[in-house]
Amino acid sequence: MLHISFLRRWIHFVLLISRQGKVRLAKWYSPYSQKERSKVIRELTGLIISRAPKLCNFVEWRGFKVVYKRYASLYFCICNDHEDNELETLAIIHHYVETLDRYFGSVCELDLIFNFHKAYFILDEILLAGAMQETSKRTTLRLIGAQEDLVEAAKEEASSLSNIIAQATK
Amino acid sequence: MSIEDNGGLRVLAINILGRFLSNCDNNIRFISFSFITLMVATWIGQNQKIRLMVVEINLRGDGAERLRERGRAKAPE
Repeated sequence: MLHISFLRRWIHFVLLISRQGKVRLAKWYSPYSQKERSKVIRELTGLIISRAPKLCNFVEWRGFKVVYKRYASLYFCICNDHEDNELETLAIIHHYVETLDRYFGSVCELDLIFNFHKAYFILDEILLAGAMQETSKRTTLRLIGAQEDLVEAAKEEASSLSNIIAQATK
Repeated sequence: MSIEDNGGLRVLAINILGRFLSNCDNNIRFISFSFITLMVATWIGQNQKIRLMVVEINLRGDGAERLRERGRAKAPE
């Protein structure tokens, strides 16, 4: 019997929730409607924030395993299948936090609020389609740097084009 | 693919998992407890001594709650 295991989604979604219950980042790797998403966020926020700090970082919820870890005022939550390795998921969370920390230089919640798109870019470099893609922090940061260079080049090109158009219309 | 079990191997498995269960980190305790409930749940159900040991180790935290949920925490009268 052939098992096509690589088609199975591993991580269903990633959430970053603040201590006040506000969502700072949400990435969905499984199809959820908008109503379902808000319900999931509401349920998990209540479930995770109310947990005592001494309890373990795994919650069984709706037949899934939710792995969360608190860093300062942020909860990093990953929901994955029941059969998956929880400690590996904790390592992924820690890896993501370390990458953010290297990129922003001592990351804080405000960095993620004002530069949320960068947080999404970094997450997309690390996780792809619900599975770990890149394990090297150095490679991730190099690719993010290359993306920024492209953005800068595009901005310069756009500004030079607008200058040319402005001169032509005079 | 399977491994034939016997009493000695079962005891060895329980001892190994018991070491993880006595770890101070609740995450490791949770995982070892999950393994116990998955792999040797029936044997724990039969063997009262092992059951009491597991309950004793998991008096605090998630483990005991999970045991109670599964109806194995209460030893027979």
